Amino acid sequence: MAEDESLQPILVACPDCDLLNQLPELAPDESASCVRCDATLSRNPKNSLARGLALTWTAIILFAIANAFPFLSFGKDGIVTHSTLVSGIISLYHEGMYFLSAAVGFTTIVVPVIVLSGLCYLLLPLRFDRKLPGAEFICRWLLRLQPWNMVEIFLIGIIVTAVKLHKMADLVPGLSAWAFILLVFVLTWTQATLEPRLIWERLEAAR
Amino acid sequence: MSSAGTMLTSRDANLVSCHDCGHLAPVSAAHCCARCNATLHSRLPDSVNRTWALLITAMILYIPANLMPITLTSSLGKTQGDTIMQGVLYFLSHGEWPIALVIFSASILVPLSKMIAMTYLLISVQRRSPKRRVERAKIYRMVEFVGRWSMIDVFVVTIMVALVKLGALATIRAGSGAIFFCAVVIITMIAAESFDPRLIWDESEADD
Repeated sequence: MAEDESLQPILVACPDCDLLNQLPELAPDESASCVRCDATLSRNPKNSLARGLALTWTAIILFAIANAFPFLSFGKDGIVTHSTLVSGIISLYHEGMYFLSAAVGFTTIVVPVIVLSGLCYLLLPLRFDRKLPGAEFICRWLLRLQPWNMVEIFLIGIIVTAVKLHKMADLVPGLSAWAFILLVFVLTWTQATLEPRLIWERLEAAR
Repeated sequence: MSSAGTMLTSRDANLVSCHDCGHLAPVSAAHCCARCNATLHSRLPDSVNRTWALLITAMILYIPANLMPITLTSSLGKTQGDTIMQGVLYFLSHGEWPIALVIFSASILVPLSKMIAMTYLLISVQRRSPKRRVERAKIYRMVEFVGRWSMIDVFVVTIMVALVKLGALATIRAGSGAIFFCAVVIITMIAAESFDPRLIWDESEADD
C-alpha cells in the first residue's frame, strides 16, 4: 500500500453506538462519521505515516531539550530558584506527596516518553513495510495511553502559574520552556496526523 | 430515532468489533482479536457497575478536595492554606478574570458537570430510556474529551512548589486537598473510560 492512497470501502461497527456502517472509499483528507450518532469512524490524513514519523522525531528532540536545560527561574534580590521540568515532581516527592508526585510524573514524563518511543518503534519499520515483535501490543497500549499524555494541559498550568507569580518576583523562562511550548504544538500536530485505522491496516500488511 | 428498527448493529449481526483496533469479526469461541490480539467483548464487561463504583468514589473524594487547602503558603513565619475556590477568588480580586475563569472552569465547572453528566448517563441507561440518544452520545463524547483538562490546578500546584522556595520570604507546599483533587480527576477519567456508550443505544434494537 503506497502513501497517499485512498482508503478502501469497509464495513465497520461504530465504537460509540455499535451501528454497522458501510464506509465508502476515502480519498486523502476525507473522513467518515457514523450515520446514527455522528462519531468519527475513519479519517485519511494526507501522507499520514511519513508525516507522523517526521513529527515524532521532532518531538523527541524537543522533549530531550525540554528536559536538559533550565525550565523557569523565579526570584528577586539575589534569592533565585532555578527549576527544571522534573523539579516539581522531585519537590513533591521530598515533601512526602508521593501520589501527587507519581501522578504528575506519569502524565508529563512517563507517558510522553512511552508514546514517543512507541511511535518510533511502530512507524520506522512500517516505512519499509516491516514490523518489529510486539508491534500490535504496543499500538494497542499507545491508543489506550493517549488521554494520559497531558503535556498540553501542563502548558496551560505554566501560563496560569506565571500570571499568579509574576507580581511576587521575577519569573524568567529558560531554553527548556521554549522547547516545551514547541513540543506541545508538535505533539498535537502528530496526533492530528496519525489515524489508528491506517496504522492497523499497514501493520496487518507488514511482515 | 424512529428509524432505529431498520438499523443493524454488530451485535444483531452476530459480529463483534475489537475495542482496540476496530477489527470486525464473527462472534466465535475465540476471545482474542485476530488482528491485534486484544480480548474481545461485545460490550465492556460490567460497565454500569464499574462506572457507578468509580463515580461514587469520585463524588466522595470531591468533598475533601474542595474543603482542604491545595496549597500552603508560608511567608514571614505565617502559614496560610488556600482551597480551590480561594484560588479562584484570589485571581478575581486581583482583576485577573480570564485566569479566574480558566481555573473556575477546569477545577469546579468541569468536574461537577462531569459527575452530573455521568450520573444522568448511567441512570438513563439503567432505565433503558429511548429518549435523546443522539444528545446523550454527544454528552458522553464531551465528558470524555474535557475531563483531563481538570488537571490544570494539580500542575499549577506542582510548578509553584518547584518555584516558590524563597526561604522566609515565601515558600509554597502542596496541601492535602491537592491529593484528593488529583484523585478525583484520575478516577472520573477511568469512570468515563469504563462506561460503554453503546449501552445508550442498546434497548431500541431489542424492543423493535
